[in-house]
Amino acid sequence: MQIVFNQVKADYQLGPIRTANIINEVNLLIADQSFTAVIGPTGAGKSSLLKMINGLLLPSAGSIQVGEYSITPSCKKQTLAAIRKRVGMVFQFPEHQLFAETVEQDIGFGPTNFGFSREETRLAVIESMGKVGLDPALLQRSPFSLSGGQQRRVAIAGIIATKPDVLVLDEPGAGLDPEGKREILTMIQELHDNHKLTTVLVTHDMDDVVAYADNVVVMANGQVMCQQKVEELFADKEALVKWKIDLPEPLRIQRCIEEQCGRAFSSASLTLEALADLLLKEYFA
Amino acid sequence: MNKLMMGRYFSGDSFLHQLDPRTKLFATLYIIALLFFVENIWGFLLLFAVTFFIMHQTGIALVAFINGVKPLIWLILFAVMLRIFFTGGGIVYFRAGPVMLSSFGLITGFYTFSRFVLMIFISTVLTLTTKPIDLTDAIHALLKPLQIFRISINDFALMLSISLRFIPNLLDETTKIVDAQRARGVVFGKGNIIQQMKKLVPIVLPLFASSLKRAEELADVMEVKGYQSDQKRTRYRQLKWQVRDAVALLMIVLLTAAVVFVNRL
Ligand SMILES: Nc1ncnc2c1ncn2[C@@H]1O[C@H](COP(=O)(O)OP(=O)(O)OP(=O)(O)O)[C@@H](O)[C@H]1O
Ligand SMILES: [Mg+2]
Repeated sequence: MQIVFNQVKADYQLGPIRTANIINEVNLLIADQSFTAVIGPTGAGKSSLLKMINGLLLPSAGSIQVGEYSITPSCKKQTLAAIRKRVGMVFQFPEHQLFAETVEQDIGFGPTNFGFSREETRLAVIESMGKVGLDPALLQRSPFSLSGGQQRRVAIAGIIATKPDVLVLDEPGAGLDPEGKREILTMIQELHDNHKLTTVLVTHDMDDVVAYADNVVVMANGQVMCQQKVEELFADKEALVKWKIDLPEPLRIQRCIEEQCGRAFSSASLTLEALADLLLKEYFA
Repeated sequence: MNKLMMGRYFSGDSFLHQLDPRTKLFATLYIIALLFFVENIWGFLLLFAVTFFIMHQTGIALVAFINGVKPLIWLILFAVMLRIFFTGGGIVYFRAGPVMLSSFGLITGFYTFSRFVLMIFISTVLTLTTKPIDLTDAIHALLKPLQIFRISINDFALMLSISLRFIPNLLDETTKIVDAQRARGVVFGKGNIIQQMKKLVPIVLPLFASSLKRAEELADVMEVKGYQSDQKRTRYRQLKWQVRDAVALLMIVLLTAAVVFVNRL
């Protein structure tokens, strides 16, 4: 599903106090079936932007088009329910939302809420456990008795069990070891490819951006600074400095080598293979 | 979100914000006690006027105080109804078995209502203008006399300040979990009371789980850092008695005199 932000503003109104706009004049187009990474410094409003796609944070002005649905400041509950069914949202540390007695019940919670029948729920639970790589033997275990990595898989399974068309994820790898993180993200990429999902991923790790995303959105102070193809962004030296964007590992190595050689190479390498090729080319040039 | 605002501290620099927390705590308890000595409508009008004056002095919008009453409104109305329909005396307008409607009942109903509302307003003034940590110090100070009974005030104060310290965390966490469950299709505020209660399970259980975990970690950390509860402690924040506290107490005395006077009317 295509997602369009149209002149969106939003704040977290706390009782009588209105805060400053957390999201300010955001215009954004996330194409159908694209894999978009959202990056930016802490407090930039990345998590808030994700919440808006799901209607958890409503705009104070402007509108958000999610597929055929439209989220406006005065949006009906039914519309929001329909949107939440189509948009799966994985929060930061999603394992904190686990509550049920068994893994099966917890994963089945979303599908049940969205009106799946008993049988459909049961099938959805088993299917999504397979997708996130959980052993079906865990079905009757208490989610609280699992390891951190397993808990996170259960939480993610609970989201994809509702068969969403859009998957939005807030730092799904945070707090995991590098291995666990890679497994989770690879699994998300497979889901994205196999189910033609539209995926939006918030991350602080530029290597993840390079490895998994095709588009990147840079945010700062509640605004979208730019939206580009990943290669374009990292080829743009000025932009990288201006928005204080970290470099992916291969590019960082390339910059060090360039400094030693005293000259800039012709392209920016985003993978180690590309870096090796580039170095060979530059060496023989 | 509004509900979670109840009793949160609002920073400010009004007279009330600057009062010593001990004075404020004492005055709050005193005024609440005074509410039970008021015997006629004039007394309640007087206390309403005084309370609204105090609320105005805080510089905080009235909504914040009204929000304090909202969650308790059914309880209040229930108590008021009991008063109204089961008190006899004066002119009886209507009677059916033990249930009746009398002029005396209406008046006591009004008194009960006023007592509840004023009590909440005045204690909301305390919590809105006093940092939780200052409040703990004040409670600690007021409980000091209990030490002669060999009750460990320090432990109690520590427990209190830790709980108060974690309330904002708990509220933030609640918001996050509520959001996460809403994303999974829970619709709050729909269905009958049983269905609504059931919807609390996915919120309350994760909160319990994380609170228990946090308590355990905190206890371990304090242990590791060598905390011992039976040591004599010095304080980092010293409370100081100032002229404005004397002024406040003087006003309390005047209020008492006024209430005594009005009671005779
Ligand atoms: N529930 C909330 N209530 C009030 N303000 C909030 C709330 N959540 C976030 N904010 C504020 O909104 C701003 C943006 O927060 P947000 O969580 O969207 O940032 P972020 O880009 O996700 O940061 P991070 O990288 O640290 O996760 C921050 O200034 C934050 O203080
Ligand atoms: Mg965030």
